[in-house]
Amino acid sequence: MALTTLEEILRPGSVDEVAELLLSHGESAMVMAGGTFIHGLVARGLVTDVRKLIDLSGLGLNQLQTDRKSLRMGSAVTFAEIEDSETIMSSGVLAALLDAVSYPPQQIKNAATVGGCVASACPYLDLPIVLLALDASATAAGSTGKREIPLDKLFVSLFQTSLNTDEFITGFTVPLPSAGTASSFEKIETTANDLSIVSVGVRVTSGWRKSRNNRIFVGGGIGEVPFRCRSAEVILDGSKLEDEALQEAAGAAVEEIEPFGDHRASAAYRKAMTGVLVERNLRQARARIQ
Amino acid sequence: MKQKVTITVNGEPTELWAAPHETLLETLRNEMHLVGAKQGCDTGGCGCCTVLIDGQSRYSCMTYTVTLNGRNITSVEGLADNGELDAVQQAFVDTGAVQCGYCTCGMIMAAKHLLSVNPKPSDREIRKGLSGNLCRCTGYHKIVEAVRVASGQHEAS
Repeated sequence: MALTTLEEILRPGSVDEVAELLLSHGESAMVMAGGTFIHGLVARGLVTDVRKLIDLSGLGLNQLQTDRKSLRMGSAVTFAEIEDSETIMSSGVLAALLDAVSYPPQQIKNAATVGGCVASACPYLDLPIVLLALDASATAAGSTGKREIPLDKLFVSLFQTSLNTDEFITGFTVPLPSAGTASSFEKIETTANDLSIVSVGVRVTSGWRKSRNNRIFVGGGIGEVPFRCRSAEVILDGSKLEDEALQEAAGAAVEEIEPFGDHRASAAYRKAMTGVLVERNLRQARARIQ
Repeated sequence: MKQKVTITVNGEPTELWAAPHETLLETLRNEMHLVGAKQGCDTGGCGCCTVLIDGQSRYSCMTYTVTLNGRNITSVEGLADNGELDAVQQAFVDTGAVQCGYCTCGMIMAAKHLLSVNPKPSDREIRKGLSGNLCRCTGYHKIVEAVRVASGQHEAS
């Protein structure tokens, strides 16, 4: 299906220019990076009124940089660039990023971007779950300047972010805690070409005596936005990340989520698989602590 | 409103005017009459529209032509050199890795990308590298063998 309402693809050369275009065109314009998600929406008849697409590929937002404290990723960094990053490859903290980008076929990895994946605000997508678990924040640029948005403040509802009409995401900052922290992501899907049934991203920190700052996020068919399993995190915080604590946390996660049932899976199945995936991911992350 | 775009297709710089919603697949097939890349699912799932953009495998069905200004595109028609087939094409012939043929050009282009980044892939890596391409004849065994042959790890049986 072609997006026949489309009048023009705009190719701005600067961040300010994008903000100006968003301001002047309002809701009739949409920002595009790799274009894979937009294409999927168009094919399903979910985008029918866009008149301008704003192509972000000319802005140079494909930089990956690290210092001691954080990883900074431009929003146009592709899944393939994440996969090929030696910094990410050698990091236990960032391991869940590699887990998430291992799922799609190469043709998608070469096109899809981290910014597009997050800005889509689709709870079935993988990188948002990981970036939430990693305490990442997004940098948004608009006509009045830039601001940092913690990722848990970005997702409002299905396909809806807290970005203003004239704002778009230029990049992400992922904190790199000191040694003792690692992450993991895994999901269950019916087929490789379908949406996930349940997806889970975790980050664990072993701490000096006791574990702390643990994160457990669940996505897939569990609601309009990714869900943070706070009561499961509380069980891990203060534990020694021993097997019993991981099992108890997985049980708590099952209790606190309220998934729905659809043609992919029943709510009961989603609950059961959340327990399996939370425990499996926690074990995986624990094993990755360097 | 059509927009001007300059792309290099199989080594030839080409200037053309494309509607903003025109995909690279439409440009190649309808405007340039390069019909190796096929339209299958048209939703980025089956892989038979695969081409290389700056050496990277991409679904041409989900790529708007206008966004490709200045980029290098290689379709299956650009692989043979003076009538001599590329090693991957020749391996597909030698192993008989073709049934109906609809997926073949996409498979070859996906394999080209794979071998460019991983010249000696294992069978598992070949299967992973071709996971974005479907063969509805289910001829995967021969296709994997063809890539193995193309990588010089195996002789055609």
